[in-house]
Amino acid sequence: MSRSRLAHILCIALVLPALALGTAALAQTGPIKIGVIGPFKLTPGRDIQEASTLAVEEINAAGGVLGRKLELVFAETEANPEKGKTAVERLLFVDKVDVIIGEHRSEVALAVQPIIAENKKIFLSTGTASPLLSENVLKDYDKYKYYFRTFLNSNQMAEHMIKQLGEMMTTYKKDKVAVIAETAVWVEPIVDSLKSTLGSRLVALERVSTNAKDMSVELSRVQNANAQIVFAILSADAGLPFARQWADRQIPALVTGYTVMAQSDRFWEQTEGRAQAFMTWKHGVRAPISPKTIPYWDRYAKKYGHIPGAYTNFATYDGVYILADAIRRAGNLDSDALVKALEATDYIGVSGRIKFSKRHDPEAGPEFVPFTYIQWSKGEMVTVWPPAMKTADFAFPAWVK
Amino acid sequence: MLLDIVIFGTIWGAIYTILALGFTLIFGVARILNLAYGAMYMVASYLIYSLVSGFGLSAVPAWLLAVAATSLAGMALYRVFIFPLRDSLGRVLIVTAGIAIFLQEVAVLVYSTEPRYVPTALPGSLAILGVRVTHQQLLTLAVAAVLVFLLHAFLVRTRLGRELRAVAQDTEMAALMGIPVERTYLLAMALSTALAAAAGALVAPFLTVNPEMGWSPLLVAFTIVVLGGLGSLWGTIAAAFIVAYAEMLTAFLISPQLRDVVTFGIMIFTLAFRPHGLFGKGIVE
Repeated sequence: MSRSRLAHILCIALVLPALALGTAALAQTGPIKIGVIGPFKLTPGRDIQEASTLAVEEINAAGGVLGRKLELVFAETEANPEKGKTAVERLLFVDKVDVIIGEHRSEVALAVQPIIAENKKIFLSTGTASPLLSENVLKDYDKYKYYFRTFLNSNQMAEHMIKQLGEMMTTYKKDKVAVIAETAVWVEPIVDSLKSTLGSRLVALERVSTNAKDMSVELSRVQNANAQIVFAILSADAGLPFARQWADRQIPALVTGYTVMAQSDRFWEQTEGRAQAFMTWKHGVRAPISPKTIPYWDRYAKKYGHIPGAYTNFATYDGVYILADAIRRAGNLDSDALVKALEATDYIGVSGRIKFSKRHDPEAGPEFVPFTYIQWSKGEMVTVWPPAMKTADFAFPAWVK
Repeated sequence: MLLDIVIFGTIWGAIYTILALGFTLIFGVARILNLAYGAMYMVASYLIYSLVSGFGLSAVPAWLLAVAATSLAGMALYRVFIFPLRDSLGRVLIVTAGIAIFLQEVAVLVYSTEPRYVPTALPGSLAILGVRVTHQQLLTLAVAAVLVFLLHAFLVRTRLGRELRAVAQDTEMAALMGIPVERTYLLAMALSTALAAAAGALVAPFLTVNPEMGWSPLLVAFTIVVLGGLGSLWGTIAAAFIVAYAEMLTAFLISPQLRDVVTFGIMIFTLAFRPHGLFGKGIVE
């Protein structure tokens, strides 16, 4: 081997490790990358995008985390499990994000959860409700311990929604309930609980597909069953024709439950005012849930020109802050250290006090994340339940006695 | 319950009649199985949405403009994409399916998948024998009846209508008699897409508008044409009401989720056991 060739090899041998060290150093001083997944063209996705952006802007303005800025990398899932997998793989292997948050559809989260877990990255979902996601944490902790959720699961929803329904039935002396529920993985625990709790007081159970466009038959069946309360569980488009036809046809029943579209700031306009007296559970309302809640609501409305819409909003905003807090306490981005830090979370956010249970779901209830209901009134969303949080009294639709 | 089935079956029967007449018209006259037919229904609904929410038009002018614009778009699609391939049924199927998916994706890009709404021309409702029906649904029934009457009058009483029927019956003979066949095809396409657009305009106010909304009407229209057979206006109307009542019976007596299953079932059984349909010439020839 000639001397010059030996010199070249020595140079390369010295330069390569130096380059590698330089890249590693850059990675530790560069921004912390947060992958955000969701259907950004839909209201729940839009809110994931906007709430995470606002949280990151605030955290960065306050100096970032561990001296580093946070950077969001968005990946569109279109609420489709297959597209969700592609989005997550891109985040993990191309963008090389440090953690992943977001998503509102359980089917997507269930599809991507194993991929994120196998790559030992934190996945904080901020809008999915299926209990199966957190059951995986209980069943196979070592694999799924990286999964956390700032939104409530369907079992928690069922417990608190049935409590509210019971109070409504007692207060207004209504004992015939119809359930209109979409066919989706997160809905089943709620429907099962309603069936077992209501018994013969459940006079109609209508299941609709997530892409149902017309609700006239379901509403006729509800009316023919003499239902006095309709308990709706609709996360997709069907919420819109449901509300419009309920009002147009003056179906003589109060509405409660969970209609995702009715949480949107656009709902009044979309129903051309037919949403008057339409009620739904809403995660995140303008009420004194914590000292942070109302200031956040107003700050958000000022920045984006519309109020926080979907249930994903508060969960995402709190989720980003909880992650930032956990990274600070862990002192690094090691996923196992982050799991420990997240498990020790006791955080007062805009949606209440957040502590994770053994299954990594947030604890629910008045002292943690309260269950709040809004009703549409003259174009405004007003909080009507629980009594401690209400900003207005519950009102009957004009055609219901 | 029975009254619900009769009333809602009648309303949907009227809507299906409009849908199926447009679909059968272009197939009957030009032998074009237009899979972009449902997309025209979707395009019209979005146009109304844009004209109302973007340009502040009221409902009725927006409907009329949207129907006219969609009809022109249908003619353009025919001239640019279908005309060169018209001799091959298979290629027409592929190109129209492509157009349908293309238009759907354009709608996603422009409007997103968020559902949109079209305002009602007549808000409110009234009770018919105890069944509450919206004014919009009744308006739909009335407009559908008027459109069927006008179409019948056009086909029977006007020269252009008689030319359409002549081309549908025997293209070569019609051409030999001096009827401009190409112009007749173009007219059939314009009328067909106008009917799809009219159906979209009538239905959109009590449903929602989204990029995928065209596929279900396409399935329904195809089923009705299969069941009713080609070349019979009354056969198409009868088949539309049979499908609508069958759907409503199933929805009310068993489950609303089975509506599409019934429609598919009718199509499969008709194709398998009565390919010539109930009343006219068969679609399978």
